[in-house]
Amino acid sequence: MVLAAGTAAAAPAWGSGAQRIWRRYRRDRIAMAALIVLVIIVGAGLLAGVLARNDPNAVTDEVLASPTTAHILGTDDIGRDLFSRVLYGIRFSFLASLVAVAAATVVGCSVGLVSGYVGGRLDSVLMRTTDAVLAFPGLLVAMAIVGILGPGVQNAMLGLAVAFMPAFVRLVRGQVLAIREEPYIEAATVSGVRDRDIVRRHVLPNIAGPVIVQVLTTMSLALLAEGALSFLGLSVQPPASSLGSLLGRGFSVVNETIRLILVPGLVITIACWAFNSIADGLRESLSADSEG
Amino acid sequence: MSAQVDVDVNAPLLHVDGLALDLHRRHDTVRLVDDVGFSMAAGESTAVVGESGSGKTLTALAVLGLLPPRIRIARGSVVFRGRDLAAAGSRELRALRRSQISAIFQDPQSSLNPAFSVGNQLVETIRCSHHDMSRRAALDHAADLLDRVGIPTPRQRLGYYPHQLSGGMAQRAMIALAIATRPALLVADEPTTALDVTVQAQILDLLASLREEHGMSLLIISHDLDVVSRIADRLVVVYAGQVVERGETRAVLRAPAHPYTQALLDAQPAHGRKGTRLRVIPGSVPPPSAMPGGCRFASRCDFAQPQCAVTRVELLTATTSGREVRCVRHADLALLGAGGVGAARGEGAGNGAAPRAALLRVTDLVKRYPSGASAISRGRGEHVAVDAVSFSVEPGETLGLVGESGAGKSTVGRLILGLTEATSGSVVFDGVAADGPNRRRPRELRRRIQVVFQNPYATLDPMMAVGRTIAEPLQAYEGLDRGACRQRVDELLAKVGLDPSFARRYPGELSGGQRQRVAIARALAPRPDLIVCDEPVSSLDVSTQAQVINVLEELQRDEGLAYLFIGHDLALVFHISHRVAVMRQGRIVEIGSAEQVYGSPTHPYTKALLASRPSSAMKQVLDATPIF
Repeated sequence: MVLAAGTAAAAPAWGSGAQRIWRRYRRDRIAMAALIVLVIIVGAGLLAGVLARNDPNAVTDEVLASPTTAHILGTDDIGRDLFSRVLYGIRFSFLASLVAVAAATVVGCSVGLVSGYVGGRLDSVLMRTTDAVLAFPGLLVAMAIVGILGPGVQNAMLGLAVAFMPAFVRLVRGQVLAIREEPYIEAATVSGVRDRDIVRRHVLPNIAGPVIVQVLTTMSLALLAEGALSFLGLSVQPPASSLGSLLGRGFSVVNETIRLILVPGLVITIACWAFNSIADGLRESLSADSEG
Repeated sequence: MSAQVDVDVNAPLLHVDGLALDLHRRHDTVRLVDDVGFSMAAGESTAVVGESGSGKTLTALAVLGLLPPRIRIARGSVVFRGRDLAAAGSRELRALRRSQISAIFQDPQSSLNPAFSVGNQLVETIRCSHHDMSRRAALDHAADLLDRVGIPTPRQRLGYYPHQLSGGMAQRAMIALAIATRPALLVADEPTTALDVTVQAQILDLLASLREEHGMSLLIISHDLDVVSRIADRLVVVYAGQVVERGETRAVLRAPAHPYTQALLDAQPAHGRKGTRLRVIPGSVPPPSAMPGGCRFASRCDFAQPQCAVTRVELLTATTSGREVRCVRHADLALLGAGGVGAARGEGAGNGAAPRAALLRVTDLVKRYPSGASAISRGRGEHVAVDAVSFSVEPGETLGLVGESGAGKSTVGRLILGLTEATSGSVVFDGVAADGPNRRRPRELRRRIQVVFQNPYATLDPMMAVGRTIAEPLQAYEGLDRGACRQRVDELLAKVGLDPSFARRYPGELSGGQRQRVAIARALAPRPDLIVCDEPVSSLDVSTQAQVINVLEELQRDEGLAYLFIGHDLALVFHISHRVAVMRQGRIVEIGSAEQVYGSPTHPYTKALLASRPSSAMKQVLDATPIF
């Protein structure tokens, strides 16, 4: 036997694909900063109940008060604590975006997988439907759906999910079409692996990277879109707040103070930057990984 | 042109001295090339030979002034006509490349710009150095150049885009582009590696004749000693970033002074006799970050002594041959004579397999594709990839299928496996009809035919640990549980010469040869009777190639496996096959025992194929008048 080449003595401390990608990602300073910023924002939203000392919906006499120790970001035009409202707004906006993107991901990926792997007439039907949705601007689709079903959080999430879905269908279908032709898929076929196991064990793990990147970029789009819908009063209903509804409300008193639009606007901007930077960093790490 | 560049025409054309290249990473630097040096006179051709990772391509890039940004010259110099390129600015380097130094690379298709016609690219290059030339005159000149590199109907081809040219034509066009400025030095990095054998021979001849006509010097970078022997005056053998041997080509090939050179020669199938094991260079090149202080080849050398690994060795001049060699023991080893190193070879499997009932019988197999992928041309014509192919494979036999790319060899393999559907004809495996797509075939039939593909980088799922990959067929065909699987996986890894610890590793951490062994272990797992090997070693280095071939041969002996071995390397296919079928344009033009086909070919194509392989040129060199 020709054993010499096979001794694992000089094996570097490599791990699984995910570990390797994380090791590479960690070296990207901007992406790491973005990740930390995002964790802080999400953490603030999750811990809104603990961090907010004032009831976000409690109306006081201190209308449009400047920041004080009691109200660290001041109050809004009917005297509600802005800091609390922003925290609860983050919680709401992120939750709504997350649900919409999760739905779009699950449904979009399933459709894309089936479309790409099965092919044929089913593929044509699914793709033409997707194209039809894609023909309209995403926000318009979402607004149309909310317009038909009536304003409200659930309908807004549904509208956003439908608007974001085609991108996932296209992405996954393209990836599946490319991976189907990979020799390792053919090798697995010859190894006797069943179709559904090929999809589960070989196709899914290999398209996971691009899908995660897409989820992150879509999250930033969803935050903006949810903001827009709330701004127009199509999503969250008062007195509850989302970042977009805060922005909309702040807009009506913009002549007196810009503080009310500055704070929620900054949070949305920073969160979008964070999502996109993380997506960029991850994309870099993934492509470096596939190069060997 | 040389007005812009300060060059001394009387100095040696190119002098590379003690070149060391460092890769600068964020926290450290790694030395990739440590001590490479050689000198070239005008009109001379020199070859830098080594395996992948030896630093040969980096050396070429340093000569061209095209090193990647994070790789810098740490020591030594590259002097072109008296001008040190290490000290030259990018402006000066560009001027040099415009007028004095040209290059061609391995893959001609990707070196040409796909968006411009060949004529346009030539005219652009010509007018770079002849600013006052009219477009019409430049086009005339371009056609003249295409004619000179042997492209028929050059006028018409000027309008062709790179994708309309075959590999050989594209490389010719690339050469035309490179000689357009009448360079003094042409750097050719693996110029024929991506081409078919007959085309290889033509390109090498072309380079040799251009060199004579223009008095141009040629710096060839290659991993293939055969190719190099055909064209180079002088040989520079590099290993792990150092020159290990340097001398006149004929002398080096006749009597290699360094054990590594000898081992490289022995690993080539043309030199190992048929039915014998190919010589294997044990171990692998040490990683650049952990280079031993002493001789870098010591850990793989048959003649290493304890002091070899610790004392740094400089390039020494051997008194007997005037050759330079980096080995402290070269004087002792020379006493062993040329045959000494490779003498102790094991005995291989016998070839005298008695004829038995066929395991696989292929009759009148045909595969047609609609020609032209676009919808417009659909139905207009058909491309016949496989045309009425018939053959049989006996149990325990290796049938070699050779031919150039596009001959339909791989398609035959895919048809047998059911990865592509046949247009007509039949495949019968052990009395059972093997038709339809693989996934629709009976499980037992699927189990008995397995496959090893060409590209070790794509054949393993990058996201799946090696052990799980090998376990897949075990679970699918034998329904083994996890514990039983683990044991079988360890056994299979041992069979292909890998340590059980490999089961936990991922393909990205493995070398090409190791990956290909894993692919073999996977094919072996369901205990098949036939393995279709589709160019299993053509993307591996010579020494790794020998390891994998030996594994395949041992497995055949131990398990009675039959192989359908698809390849384009004639020497290699001859080495491993009992019988050989030669394919051309979808047809089998000749089939017979390996000795018959290679010893007395009857079909003109087989003769042409055999005549064009570089090894026959090498043989001529070696058979020429003795040097000593």
